[in-house]
Amino acid sequence: MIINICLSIAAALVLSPLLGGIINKTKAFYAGRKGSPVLQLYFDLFKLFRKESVISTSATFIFQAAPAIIFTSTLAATIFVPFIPGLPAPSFTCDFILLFYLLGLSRFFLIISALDTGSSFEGMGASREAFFSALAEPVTFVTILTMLRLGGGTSIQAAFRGLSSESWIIIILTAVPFFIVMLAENARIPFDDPNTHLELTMIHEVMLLDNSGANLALMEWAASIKLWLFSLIIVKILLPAEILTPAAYTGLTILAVPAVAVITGTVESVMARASLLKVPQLLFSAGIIAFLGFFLSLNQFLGW
Amino acid sequence: MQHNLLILISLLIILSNLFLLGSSRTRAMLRGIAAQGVLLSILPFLFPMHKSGLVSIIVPAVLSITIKAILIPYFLHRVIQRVNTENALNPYIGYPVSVIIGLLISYGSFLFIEKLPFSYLSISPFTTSAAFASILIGMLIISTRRNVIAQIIGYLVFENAGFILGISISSTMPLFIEIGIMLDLLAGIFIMVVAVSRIHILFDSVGTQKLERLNK
Amino acid sequence: MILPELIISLNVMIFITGVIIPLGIEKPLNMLKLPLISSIAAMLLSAVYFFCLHNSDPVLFFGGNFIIDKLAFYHIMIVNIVFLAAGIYMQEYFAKSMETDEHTAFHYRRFSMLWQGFQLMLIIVILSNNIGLSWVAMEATTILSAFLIISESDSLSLEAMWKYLLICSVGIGLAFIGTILVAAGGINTFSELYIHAEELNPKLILFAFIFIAVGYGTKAGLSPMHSWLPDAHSQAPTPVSAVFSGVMLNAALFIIMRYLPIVERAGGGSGEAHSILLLTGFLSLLFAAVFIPIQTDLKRLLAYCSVEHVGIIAIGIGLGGLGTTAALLHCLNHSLSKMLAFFASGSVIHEYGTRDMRKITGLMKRMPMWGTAFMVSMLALMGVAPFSIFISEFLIVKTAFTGGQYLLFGLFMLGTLAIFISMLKFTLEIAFKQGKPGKLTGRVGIADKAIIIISVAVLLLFGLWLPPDFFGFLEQAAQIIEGGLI
Repeated sequence: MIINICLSIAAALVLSPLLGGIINKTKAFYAGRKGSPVLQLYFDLFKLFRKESVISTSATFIFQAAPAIIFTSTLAATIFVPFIPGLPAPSFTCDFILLFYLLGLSRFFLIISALDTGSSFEGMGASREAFFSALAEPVTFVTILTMLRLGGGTSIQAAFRGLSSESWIIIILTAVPFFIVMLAENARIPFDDPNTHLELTMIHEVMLLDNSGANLALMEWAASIKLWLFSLIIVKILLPAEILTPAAYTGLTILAVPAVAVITGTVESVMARASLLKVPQLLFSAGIIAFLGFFLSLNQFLGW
Repeated sequence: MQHNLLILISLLIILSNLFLLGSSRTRAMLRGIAAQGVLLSILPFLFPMHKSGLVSIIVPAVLSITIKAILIPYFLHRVIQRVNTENALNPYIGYPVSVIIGLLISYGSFLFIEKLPFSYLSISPFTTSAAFASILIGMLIISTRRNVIAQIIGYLVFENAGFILGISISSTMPLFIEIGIMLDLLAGIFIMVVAVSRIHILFDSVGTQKLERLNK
Repeated sequence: MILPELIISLNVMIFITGVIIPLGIEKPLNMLKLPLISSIAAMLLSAVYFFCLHNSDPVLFFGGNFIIDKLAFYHIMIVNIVFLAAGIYMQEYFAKSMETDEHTAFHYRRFSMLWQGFQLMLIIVILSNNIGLSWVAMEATTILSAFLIISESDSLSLEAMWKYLLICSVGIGLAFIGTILVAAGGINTFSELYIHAEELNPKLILFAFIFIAVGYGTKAGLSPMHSWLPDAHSQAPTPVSAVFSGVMLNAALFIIMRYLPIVERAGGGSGEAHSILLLTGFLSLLFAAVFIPIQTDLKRLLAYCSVEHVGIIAIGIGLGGLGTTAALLHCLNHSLSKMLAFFASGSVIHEYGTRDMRKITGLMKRMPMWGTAFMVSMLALMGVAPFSIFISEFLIVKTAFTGGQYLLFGLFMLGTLAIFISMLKFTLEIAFKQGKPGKLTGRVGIADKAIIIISVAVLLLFGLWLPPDFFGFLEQAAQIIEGGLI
């Protein structure tokens, strides 16, 4: 079990900044640019860790403690999504609730640290973050519940059975809303534009405005770990575990997670950022699709 | 493969119904109903065992794509252009609530179909329940949208249900009757569209608020 | 035997010619002659249909897609009689309205064409043996008749037309679902379905019948799907109201009658289909009883009265046995008297210039001829003794009473009594209440006089003495609904 935990954490720490690079490279490709190097985020993190943190005089200890809490709770969430099948992994009844509430904890500290600075821009970003995540959370849980219905377990491990010939339609109906939730949770287009630097329209970036140095590095790293975690869950929802050998499964996972990043990059290239009023509609649609999948999983319609 | 395609198309039909319930503009509804027309014209190819010969597959497919996916949306497009000023639907039931009701209806029809004595017929329960959901959703649109164009689209959803059911339950109707059914639909929609332009000319509105004087 | 094929082809040809000819005519009054001519031709042809019925076996033709039996013949006769009378009445009616309205030739051309198409489709509905063809023709009647309603082009009639079009289309759409479900077994003609009824799945057929009863019931004006009926009937031009009430409602009920024996035989005679008809029938009666007293519009009153009578026919069929025969008799009685009532009220409304019943008074003094027709038809519709509706209603009541269904008997008596009281009050006020002095011109043509005299004579004759041959014919027709002949 220790091996698996270590592996999960190590993979998340080492590989996660890669995803942001891949997304940016994809967007550059669609725009016909050369784009920044794939490893750009590593360089940024490295640079930021060497810099000194400047802390606003109006901020309290919350602002200083938040980056560490955010980073650790996000990292802790990754241990429930094991990287290699077959090895024992931490799992218990309803562990998915712990997983998503560890992420919730990190979001909570992100929000209060943004409020703590006393900046009105950051307060606005915090309020939007709270609003959108409140809409996204039910969708997340419905998708996970659907997967658990299909897998027949109570731990998140049971959800990772992958596509099969009799339940593929439900899995598609689960993966699509989960992907939309991923975009919302990780502040991607069409929910938020990670590249914009207009404070009035930003959500995630605006909350980090007052962070600098190592604090900012931890925040950015935590964000990329979160993206990694969601991509990994999507891959595990889709990859058929039972047909593949563990080695093939691991190999495919390593290939598929960057593929999710490429898809995200494509979505970001072809879509524009939705107006704030459209965001609830998008999440509502995702919820409807998720519920459709959930209803289908309730009865044995697929045996017909 | 064929089974999976049927499931996919049924789900897409249900999703397009939910889209129709959720859209707040007649133009958006028009896109939804045209997409549904295209989906329907694939269906005859997926039930070859119910048909005798290629002609009886091709004719409904061609008829449905010309009528449901091209002609009727074209008529509606023309009339929507003419009444351009008024796009709003003024629903009795709000859009999110309508979508949720539609979702529950779709689920309910799955449960309902299980109870029906269809087992002795070789039909796909997926398309059948999509059809039953469409019946109710069409009626929901007709009764809760105070805009005559939206009501026509609701009626089309409702008619599509009949088409789905006719295709998925082995239909033994002579070909001339199937053609008659399609032509009836086309003529009906044509008359409705003419009526809508009349209503627009006379009332200068396509909302149904002005169509509530005869009530007793 | 090639005869029936020939006749129906001829029948179709007549109407198709009738639909085409108005394209080449310029004068509105001549265009309106065409419906009359084709009705007369159809009437003559229906005499030939009768010869197809020599033996009591039904005649199938055109690959079994069409059928003539006693039930169909009877309804064809009702269609042709009402259309002929309406065709005659139409001449005077539009000649009068042409003085005030400024309709163009296009308007009358469209009316003439749609009218004949409407009649043809109703005839096909009745002659059809194929459940799909019945549906197609029924839907076509909705489409064709929609623009007949807005002949008097104003906002209210447009509203009525929209409701009619939408509600009836939805209703007929439901009937389509039912039709598909019945055809699921692979058989699609009424006669074959009846023969193989015991092999069908009873639950599925009953489920389908609910759709059919609701669907065609909408077109027939059965509650609770009747909401289009008062609007359409009251806003349409009078000849159209007359054929709507007198024919279209019957034709929709006719299809339900065709399905009834199949459903009952599939269900092993459990009587569930009959109960559905009883339920909707009593609901219609109830709705009519509630809404008739609060009416102010004369034609709207007659429309609700149609709801009542369709309900009574449904109750008769639902009771079964003698009730079915009585219901068939009631079809003819109601068509005749309602037709006459609409004609009279159309003329009255034209002369008084209002349709508000509170303003129409002293009718008997001011318009003696139409006033008498109005009085007689209203009394007949109320079920007053010497007229034939009394006989058919009495037979239905008798069936309920002798069958031991006292609750139904009581409900029926209560409903008709309530309607009787309120209609009597309206009629007496219109006919005898002191109104303005002086006669209204109200010219009554010789043809109109003939319609009035013949209808009143038939209503009285059948009320006083029902020819045994005719009753025997009806009993045989009822046998088809009861199951036993096809």
